Amino acid sequence: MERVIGIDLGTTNSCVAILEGDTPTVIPNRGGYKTTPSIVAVTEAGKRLVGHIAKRQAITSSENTVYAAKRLIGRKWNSPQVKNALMTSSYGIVEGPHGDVRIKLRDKTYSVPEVSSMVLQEMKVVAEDYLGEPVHKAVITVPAYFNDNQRQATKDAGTIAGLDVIRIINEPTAASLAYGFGKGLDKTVAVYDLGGGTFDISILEIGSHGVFKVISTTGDTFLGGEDFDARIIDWLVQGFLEEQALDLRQDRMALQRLRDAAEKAKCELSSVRETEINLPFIISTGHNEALHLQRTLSRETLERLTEDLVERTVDICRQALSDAKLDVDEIEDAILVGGMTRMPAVQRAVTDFFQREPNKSVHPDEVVALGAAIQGAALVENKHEMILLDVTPHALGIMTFGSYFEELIPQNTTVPTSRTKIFTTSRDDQTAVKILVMQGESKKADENELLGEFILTGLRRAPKGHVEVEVTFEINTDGIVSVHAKDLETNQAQSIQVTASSGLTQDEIKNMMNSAHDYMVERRVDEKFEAARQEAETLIDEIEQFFPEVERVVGGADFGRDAISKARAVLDRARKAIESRDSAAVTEQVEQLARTSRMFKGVVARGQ
Amino acid sequence: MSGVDTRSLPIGPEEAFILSRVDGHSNEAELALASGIELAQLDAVLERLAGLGAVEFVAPDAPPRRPTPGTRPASRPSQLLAHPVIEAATPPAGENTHPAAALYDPAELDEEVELELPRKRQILDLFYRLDSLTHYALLEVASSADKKDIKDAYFRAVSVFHPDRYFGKSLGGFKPKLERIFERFTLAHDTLTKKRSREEYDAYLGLQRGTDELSRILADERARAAELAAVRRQIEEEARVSERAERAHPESLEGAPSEETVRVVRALDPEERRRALARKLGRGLRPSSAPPSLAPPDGAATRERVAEELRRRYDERVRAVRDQQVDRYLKIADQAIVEGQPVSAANALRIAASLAPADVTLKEKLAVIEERATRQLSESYLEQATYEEKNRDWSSAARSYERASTGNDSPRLLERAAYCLLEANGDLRKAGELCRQAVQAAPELASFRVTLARVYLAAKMRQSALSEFERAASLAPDDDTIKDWIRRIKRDEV
Repeated sequence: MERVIGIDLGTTNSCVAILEGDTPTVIPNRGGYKTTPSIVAVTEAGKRLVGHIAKRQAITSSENTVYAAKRLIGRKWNSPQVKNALMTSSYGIVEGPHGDVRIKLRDKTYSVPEVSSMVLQEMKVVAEDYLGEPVHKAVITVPAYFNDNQRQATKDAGTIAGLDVIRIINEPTAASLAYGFGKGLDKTVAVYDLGGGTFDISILEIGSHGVFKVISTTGDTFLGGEDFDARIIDWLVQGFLEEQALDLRQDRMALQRLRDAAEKAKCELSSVRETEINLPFIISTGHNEALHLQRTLSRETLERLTEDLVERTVDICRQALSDAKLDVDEIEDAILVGGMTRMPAVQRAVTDFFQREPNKSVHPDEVVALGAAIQGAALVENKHEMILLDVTPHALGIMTFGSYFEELIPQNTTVPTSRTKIFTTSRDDQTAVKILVMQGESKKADENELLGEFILTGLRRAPKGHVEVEVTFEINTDGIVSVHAKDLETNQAQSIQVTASSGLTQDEIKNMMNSAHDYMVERRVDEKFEAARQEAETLIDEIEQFFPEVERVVGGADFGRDAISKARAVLDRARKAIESRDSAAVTEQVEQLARTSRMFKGVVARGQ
Repeated sequence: MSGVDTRSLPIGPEEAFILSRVDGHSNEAELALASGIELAQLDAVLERLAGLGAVEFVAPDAPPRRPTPGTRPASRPSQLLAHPVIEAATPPAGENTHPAAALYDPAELDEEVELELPRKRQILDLFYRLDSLTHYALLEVASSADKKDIKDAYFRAVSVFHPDRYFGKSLGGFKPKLERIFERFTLAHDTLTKKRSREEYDAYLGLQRGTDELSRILADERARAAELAAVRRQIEEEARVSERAERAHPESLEGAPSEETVRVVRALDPEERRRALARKLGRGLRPSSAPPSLAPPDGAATRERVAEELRRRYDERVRAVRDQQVDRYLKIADQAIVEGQPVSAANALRIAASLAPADVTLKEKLAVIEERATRQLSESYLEQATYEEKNRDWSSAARSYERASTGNDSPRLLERAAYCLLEANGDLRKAGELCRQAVQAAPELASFRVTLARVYLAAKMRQSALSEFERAASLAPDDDTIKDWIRRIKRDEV
């Protein structure tokens, strides 16, 4: 049975887990950390860096370091969120060929799924190293409030990384799986998930037969820890501007240092009441003089700066409850997910709203990946009694005359599902209708997300309103949306499978997948070479140390001199192999070196 | 005949469908109603099924077969009906026991997918019954079930029918079926766990049950006949008891009752009944049995007179008891009228009228109430049809409209029934018939003709469709849609 990994692809950190027996387990990376920063960088030499190593070099190379790519994934170039990111990000964002977003790193542009795939690939490697076998299948989580384009883009990122993404699931839902898996619970819970970039709230029912049924889900894809950090940065920048009349935002490196300091201060303030932000030599005055930034931030100030953000999450909670048609006292547990829920003000807000102490039994940074691993195992192993019933986070419908959005499948409908509605023509003698498939909650079509379109032709010429077209929407278990349109009189029909678009064509995805694969092969070769090189060098050192002793013992004999010169030759060949970076040759020489080393050891032992 | 494997029978979908409607106590007329198939055609199919041993005909006065426990709705009348059909293949538990087994082509079970045969069968059995099950029946919970019961039932169903249960397996045509089943379970759960929607749904079910029950009462001649027979037996019994009290010849009637019972059922005419009884009493008389006061010394003439007198007295008693019964039924009817239940009233009145066939006033009253009952029933059906049409349950709507039309002269109901049948991709011949009736009743309405024309078109009767559209066009010369239809038919575009 092939193992399925669960990946929480976070805005700031990612995490990978697997189900071992019946125990979901987080897999630590090589550094021993359970989460890996979702940061990607490219060095001057063109080397790709992912995770902690990328984070460490971010200050010195901020324009070539991508963080929070998740905020851009599946977004269109002209969306307000991208415009917003353009203003604050330290790396280059450019328009792609399909109105999508591309990220510029050194001399190359990358699509957002490609950048995310680098993180996913890293998580895949972490899992493969741990399991000692290749991994192909994964369940990846996304914020519940992601639309279909964002989900598709995430799936594409998985494909590029060489993963078969068997299911995309929602983060809060995944968290609830980890919370309730195998416990035989029967309760209604709320999952409050405030992560690095997004906020989700889901109300779920955990019932008999291992059924997890989402009742309602809502959120904000632009509300998370990054926004809290931004408030601190604003406060620091503003204070510096008043004091020194210098705008730190103009300096990318200063901005990156502020970003790190803000995040650190925010985290510290979860446990202490006051913290010092100390950034010496933050900026040069231009007169050969450097200025320092030093300020004290109290928890109180932080809470004041971010009060409205916390309040916004509470409003969204209220919405989720009302969507679920439940009263607050019907919620039997509130589960906290995401690093931001460590903030005392957030915990207070949740306690106040749900009128109970939130449940902290799950690890806020790991629980989502654990849930994804559980879902993966439940799907392929088919032995765990667990079924997840999720809902559509957004309404689905079509655009009608006057640019209105006509909903067919409402928000929070359990999938799989299907709905049908009848529409009529809007103009006299209209012989074709264009079906624009959209997703969103706005009555105005242009405020919603376009998922796809097709044209139903061959309608009977008739006065407007006289021709009826039946439109059916269907969402299957895998979340694939199909739309059928039928002329009720002639039974003429058209249908499409709505493939939400990540902004990439299939060919592009394939090419990216190939280059990611090549990169991986290269990387694996590099790793192998590195390992062989290290081993060879250790042996070379060892042998070198034995030479004087060996010469003393057998140097006088012919066979001894012969052996010594042979050993010298081995060392030379090994050094050459290392120099030429030929992995296979080095591996071969390692064997020779080992033999020589054994022989020398034997000679020395006999000689004593 | 039990053990006949229904699935192995060489039958087509039509036969299979009819077989699925055979429940052991419906007669042909009811089956025709339930299946929407014409009586003559139905008879032919039943003959064929009988030839295959799948069904058997039961004589009207044969004892009723015991139905397989649990396979028959409890609300059905339990008395023996004339000429009912019994499903012969009472399948053993387990294998193909399902009443839905005959609803689909058994070849569907042969589809190569990674599912066990019992699971496939379970899926198909449920899938093909989805439209006929109420939410409660689907979830297998009582209509009084509380929220928790409903949720548990839903979760149980989900753990079996959710497609994720079979993730990664090749499911072929079973996957969309599983999804449809799951969707229907979710609809049932969502409807029944919300107070408001459950109330609405219960009201609809109530309406449906009501109309079913009412039409059953109204149409069920046999039930009425049985009740009537029982009443008559009672009347005779009472009359006889009072006679026996007077006379000392109980043996004259001995052994009769059981015979009597059978005959009462057949002989419905009370006058004939009375004559028969009198004949019987006459034969049973003996000289010595005459009461002293009435006993002349001797001779056949005297005996004849005594018998005559006895008959007269017996008849009087019968009449008296009968009048009491008629009175009782009249009271029941009046009460029902007061309670606004004309159907029950009509039922009681019919029994009363049968007991007193000579009573003209009673007959008139019955006619009035009967009309009111049909109207009430029709209104209920109309209400039901409207709900069904709104919910795009076309075949149910067609049926309800059609039933509504029996108590309402408005041709619109016929036209609606035809339209809904068309939408349901149902029996086009029937739709045509209904719509033709509607057009006959309101020949001046272009819209009815358009529906009829569309029915013709759907049935590929282009010439009829064209002439119907042309007639409609002459009635509504300004309607461009009709002109457009004509143009397109002529151009062969449709």
